[in-house]
Amino acid sequence: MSLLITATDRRLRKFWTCLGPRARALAAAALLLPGAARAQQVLLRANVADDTLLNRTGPNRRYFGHLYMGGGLVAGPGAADAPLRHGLASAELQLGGRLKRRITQNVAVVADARYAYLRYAFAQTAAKTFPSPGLHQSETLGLHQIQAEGGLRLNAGRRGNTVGSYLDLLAWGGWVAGTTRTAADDPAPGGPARTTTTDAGLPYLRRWTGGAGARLGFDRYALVARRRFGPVRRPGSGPDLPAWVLGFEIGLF
Amino acid sequence: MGFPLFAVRRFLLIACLGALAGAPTAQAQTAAPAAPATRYWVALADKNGTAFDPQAYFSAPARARRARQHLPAFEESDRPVRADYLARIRAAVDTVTLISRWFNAVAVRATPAQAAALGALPGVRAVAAWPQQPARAAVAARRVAPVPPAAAADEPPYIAPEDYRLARRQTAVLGAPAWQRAGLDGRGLRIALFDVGFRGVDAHPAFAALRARHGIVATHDFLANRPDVYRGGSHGTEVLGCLAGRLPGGPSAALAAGPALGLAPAADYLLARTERALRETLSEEEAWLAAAEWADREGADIINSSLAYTEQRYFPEQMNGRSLVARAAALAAHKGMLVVCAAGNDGDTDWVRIGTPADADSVLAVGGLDPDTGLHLAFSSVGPSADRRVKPDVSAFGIVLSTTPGGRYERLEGTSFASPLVAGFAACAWQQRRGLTAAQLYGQLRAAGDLHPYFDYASGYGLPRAAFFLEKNAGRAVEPTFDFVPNDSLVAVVLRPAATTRPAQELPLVADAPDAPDAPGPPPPSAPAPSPGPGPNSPPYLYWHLADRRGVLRRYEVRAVTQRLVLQVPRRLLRGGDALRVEFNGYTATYSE
Repeated sequence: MSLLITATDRRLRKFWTCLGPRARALAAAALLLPGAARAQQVLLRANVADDTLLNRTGPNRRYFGHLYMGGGLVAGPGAADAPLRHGLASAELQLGGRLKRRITQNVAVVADARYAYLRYAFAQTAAKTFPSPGLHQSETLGLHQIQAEGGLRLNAGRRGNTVGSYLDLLAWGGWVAGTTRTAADDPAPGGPARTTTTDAGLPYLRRWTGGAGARLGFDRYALVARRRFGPVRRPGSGPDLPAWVLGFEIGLF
Repeated sequence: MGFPLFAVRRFLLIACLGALAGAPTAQAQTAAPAAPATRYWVALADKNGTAFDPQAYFSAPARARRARQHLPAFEESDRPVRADYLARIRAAVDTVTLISRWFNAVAVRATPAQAAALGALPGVRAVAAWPQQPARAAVAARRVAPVPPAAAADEPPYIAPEDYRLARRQTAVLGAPAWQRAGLDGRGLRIALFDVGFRGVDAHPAFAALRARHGIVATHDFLANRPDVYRGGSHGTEVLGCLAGRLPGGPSAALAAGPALGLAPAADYLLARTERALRETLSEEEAWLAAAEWADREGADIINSSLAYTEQRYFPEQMNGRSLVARAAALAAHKGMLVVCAAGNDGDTDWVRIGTPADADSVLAVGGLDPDTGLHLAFSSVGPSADRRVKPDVSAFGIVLSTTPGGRYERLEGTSFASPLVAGFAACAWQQRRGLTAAQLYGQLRAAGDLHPYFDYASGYGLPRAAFFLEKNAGRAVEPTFDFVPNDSLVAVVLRPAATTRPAQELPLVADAPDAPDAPGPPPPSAPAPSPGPGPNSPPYLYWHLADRRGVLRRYEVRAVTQRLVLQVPRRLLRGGDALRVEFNGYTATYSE
């Protein structure tokens, strides 16, 4: 390859230095033949039209979509027959997507779709009869939910292309796609180290749920409070479980 | 996108504490209006009847600057706002946060009801809500090397050889040896710095010489309204280091003045704190404007602002020179000050564009170059402005060695540091050509760029060359280095053989100077400025762009030249008056059809 380049170079130099414009044009035409020029190393390239496109989407544009994740703790007293273990034991995890439609600088509507896993952990006391009458080492209810949520967003102040500070007023509904009751027990000596029993498709839990909430946020971070209006337990299966979930969200953008 | 848990906890803790702290406060303020106070910009109608004595108001350097540039002793915008208007406004609102002569306006903190009442006051032309979201100094520095251990008090801090070399190159490429030979070091110039804070400047050995000669002539914190600026953030310390800092003198004289880190070690400095480092409030742009008026009054020749306001308050399409700070910067330029601003560090973020006030028409916006390649750094914000003006204007190293609190020197990156390097260059140029107006200097600094008249939106006109100011034949025509060869469908750019021949380098028997600019030690007296571009064993660069008939670029590229047929552009791209412009080895030519 280097010999070829040297020969081409010498030939081009001869044309360039000794001949007139027409010969130069001929030489250039020869060079422009396919394969004559090797690819050049581009160190910097910018297409200004692409760089300066006016975006219709963005944190404070007409439309803004992003993913988010959140977590919350179940809050409120449990039912007398279903005393709860509060803290991280009874909590909800969420992963979803959000679309925001800006109406004015200070008002927008948001629509979410998400998956939420809600877990209730029950204290194993003598008063506990739900979800099962027996005592176990630990006992939890897990609800796999598909939820949709709509809300009105009120922003404070004028801002640039950022989400800014906001208050969301929310209404949500969901379908409980799957339910499980998991109980762990210490087996008798000589048996396995641990015995876990899982029941799925629990008939005493409702399939549909819904509620309202509020979200106080600044850019990608938000504090959220949601209240469920419908009971988790089917009618006749006893007092309801706590309706509040308090937590936080982080926007993934 | 991961988010550390401790940060979540901290956020929740702060939010909860804030809520808890806010509740009793709100209850305690029973006499306060129901609606929360917010900021408003109150424009006044006139300045009729206000008395003004420029001799008393302006400092002697300020008067001298105006006289030197044949500017009037004062303008209408220098007159104070009317006291009667101001008294009525003070009585009607909670707080007056800024009084601006330049804009004949007042910034206030008021409730919506108070703001509505303001509009009815005599002399009030308009009341507008002030943007509420915090802006962020988009050009905050980032350390690119671990912090070296602190040295004992009686010995100079350790500086790694590669950092020492960088420190020398960051000024050498801007012609430091040539400026020194010409006796130009910013003496007689006043440079104002607007920044987050100057923590450590009052104790850092790098500024010992500056302090000894009382080179910091005035300071003011426009956020706390007091003179102490040696607190808050250290970003200003790092920026000042690139103007007036010095390396340690040597082991035997730890506090002696060593080689300069910037080009204006002999200038006088005005230090203004206009930004908060961590706890962001809503007053930065007001403080910037107040500092500009202060700098004007104190006789500043150059303002360096290594700050850029971007998406927290603006949209990209608003980077058209119409923001408050951009208009303030333009007014400062109109009053004879050269305003040098960092382009911003958003080149590799979604924002991409320069921030404001670098978008202002008469502000010298400075981009960042990679010291190793001489090419645009990816993080350096790019132009054009929203109204398609050339930005950034020029470029300098965006990775530097500078001063940090605690008597240390650290390798830092950001266009924050390219800006003071160019500000120092401008000080030397203005010291040499003192008769230039600020606008003329602005134009000559662009013309001094090593790419000029070529430009692109990454590096502007390139790295300013001291030779433009110091050599008589710097402006002479350059021999062509390439030819355009049109074909049926393509236009080829073919380099001339002579332009691609690299002369053999032969070492002299005895060097004129013991040290090359790249080497540690004192600067050589006669060596040429080293190029930040490709090294002697690397291919040279060819720059080309396509511009429309208005001169607005459609695309631009930089290529490594490995063969003489270096570029082929389809001729269909040149229809409608578009032009192909190419730069190679200092020669620029344009092809259009």
